[in-house]
Amino acid sequence: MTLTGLGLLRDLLKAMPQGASLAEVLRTVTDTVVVHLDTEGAGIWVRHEGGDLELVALTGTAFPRDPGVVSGVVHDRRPSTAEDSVVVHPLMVGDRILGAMGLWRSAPWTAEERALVEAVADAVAAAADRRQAEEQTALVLSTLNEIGRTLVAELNLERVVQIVTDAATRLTGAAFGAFFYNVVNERGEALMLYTLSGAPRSAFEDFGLPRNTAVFGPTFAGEGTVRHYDVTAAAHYGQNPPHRGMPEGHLPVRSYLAVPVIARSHEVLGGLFFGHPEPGQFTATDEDLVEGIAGYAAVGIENARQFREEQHIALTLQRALLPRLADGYDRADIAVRYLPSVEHAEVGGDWYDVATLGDGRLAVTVGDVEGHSVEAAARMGTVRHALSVLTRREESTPAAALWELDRHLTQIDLRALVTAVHAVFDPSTGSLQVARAGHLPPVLLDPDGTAELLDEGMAPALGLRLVRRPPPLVHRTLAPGSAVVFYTDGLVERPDRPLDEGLELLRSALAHRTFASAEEVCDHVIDELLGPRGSRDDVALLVLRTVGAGHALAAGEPRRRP
Amino acid sequence: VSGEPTSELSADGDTLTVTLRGEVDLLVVSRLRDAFESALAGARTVVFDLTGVSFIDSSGLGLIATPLSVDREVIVRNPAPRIRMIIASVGFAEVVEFDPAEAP
Repeated sequence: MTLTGLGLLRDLLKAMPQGASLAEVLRTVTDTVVVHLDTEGAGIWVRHEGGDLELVALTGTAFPRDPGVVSGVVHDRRPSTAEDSVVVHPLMVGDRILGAMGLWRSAPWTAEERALVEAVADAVAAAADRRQAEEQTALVLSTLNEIGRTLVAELNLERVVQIVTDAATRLTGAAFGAFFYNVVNERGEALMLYTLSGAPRSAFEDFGLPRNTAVFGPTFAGEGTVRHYDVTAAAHYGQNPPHRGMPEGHLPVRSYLAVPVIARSHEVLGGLFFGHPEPGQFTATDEDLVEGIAGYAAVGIENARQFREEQHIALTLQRALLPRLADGYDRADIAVRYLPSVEHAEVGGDWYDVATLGDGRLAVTVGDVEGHSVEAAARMGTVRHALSVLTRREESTPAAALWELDRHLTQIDLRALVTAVHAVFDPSTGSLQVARAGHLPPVLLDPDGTAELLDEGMAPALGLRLVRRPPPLVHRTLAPGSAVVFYTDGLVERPDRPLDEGLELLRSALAHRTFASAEEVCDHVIDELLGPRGSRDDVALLVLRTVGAGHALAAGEPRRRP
Repeated sequence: VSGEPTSELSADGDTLTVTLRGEVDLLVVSRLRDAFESALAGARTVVFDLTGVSFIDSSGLGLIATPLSVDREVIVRNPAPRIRMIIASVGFAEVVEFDPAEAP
């Protein structure tokens, strides 16, 4: 080899530093070749998966021949021979064709120079192949990383499977993808559900679920990845009655890729399936990618399941810790509701309470303990019991009870934000005393139709040493047939609406209305404020309706609970 | 796939700044909790920068209240009017300092 050749190869090797992209490397190659071989121009074409050629690097003048010359070289996998001043050489690794490199000038090429061009083409092909593989790997890793981060933070099963299906379908270039996964419903029955990407649900609805056929079976048995260049040509295709192949009307599938999703316990959670109407669309890289995604999907599904189980425990605990109402109260009608959030995502801290004091007065409370799930439910139990003890002390007012509750919570170092509204109603006089700590104001509905927010002032939230003095005590005398609505923030707070609008919505939902019972007030408020879409947060609601001595029967008798 | 709120802590002398973005909920707060509580030991003043916060739930309010419970000064910077309203709804209007002092 000549000195020129050695210098050229040395410079080429130097021109391929780590971190440069394939296109950058190839441009350095054409620049170097032009300088060392005294040519007018050099170009490198890369062959894409569909067979298209793209000129990715060009130095000097434009390619002086018809592009068909390059296509011919790539097709024949042999260097051009006819031209004396233009040489085009295929870029090959083993028997795989990656593209072509061309050099052109006015003078003809010697045999020695042509041998040098061949050596350079081989070096470039090897480097390009390595770089392409590296870029593919980097892309796969960064994509998987991103999907992984999203999935680990996602606790909703339906969203987990949709993210997985969408991402895998997009990344493999599949025409459509489906994720069939096993679930156990609340009655303990095993079901298979599915989610789709790239095809409407109607495209699958008529076929039912994939059965344990020769094509699908290995995936649901967790036997490993199945990839077909052309599934209709596979040996076991069309063996299963009744359809013997794809049922009529099925989306056309030639390229086929299926990957089982397997939990750490080796349980098969489901299978990811991808199809394309053209054969040969899925590569080994796609296989790696989907296997990686399937790994994250398994973790995501297990997290979502665990979360759901924990929420179920929290909700059970919550319900156990909430008081049972007595069979009816003397001259007051009380109704309560506890609504978990729509997805059971927020469960735990909300509570209501009713206590009959020794002198016939009634104490009612609605509160909210910050926290999550089982922890919040347990804290709620502690706080509810503490307040119920404090409120039964003689001479206690709602303000004093909340003030002492804050000191108690500080002593036991609860360290969670607790908000509460606490009221004492005396049925013999109609007197209502209300105190609040960091809690939204109750609404008082007078029998004349006036609805008023009892928002005259309050202490900060409890449990954090923020309460410096007893909260202000608000007094009202309730006429028979009045109703007071106590609630937690989930009833009125929504991310898409300012809080004051939510409060006004509640107030106006009650104004100028008459209700026959506290139960009816509860139903009406929930209908008006939450509607069928429910709440993102959990909601506790308590309605106290006064039934004066002279009006008791006319205004509706306290309901007896079954 | 991204778009999750980015939150960060930065300490400057005895001022700890907590930058929150987007929807501040349980997930955001639980990611931040441990680092926040260890950084709190060296701080006298804690600034919560709520520029661009669109929602805050009770865990977010609990985070804001934590320094108050250990006698640190709390400054709430640039809350949107609706966020300011939620902070006031748990009685914090008197125990934190708003910056700016008046709602825009």
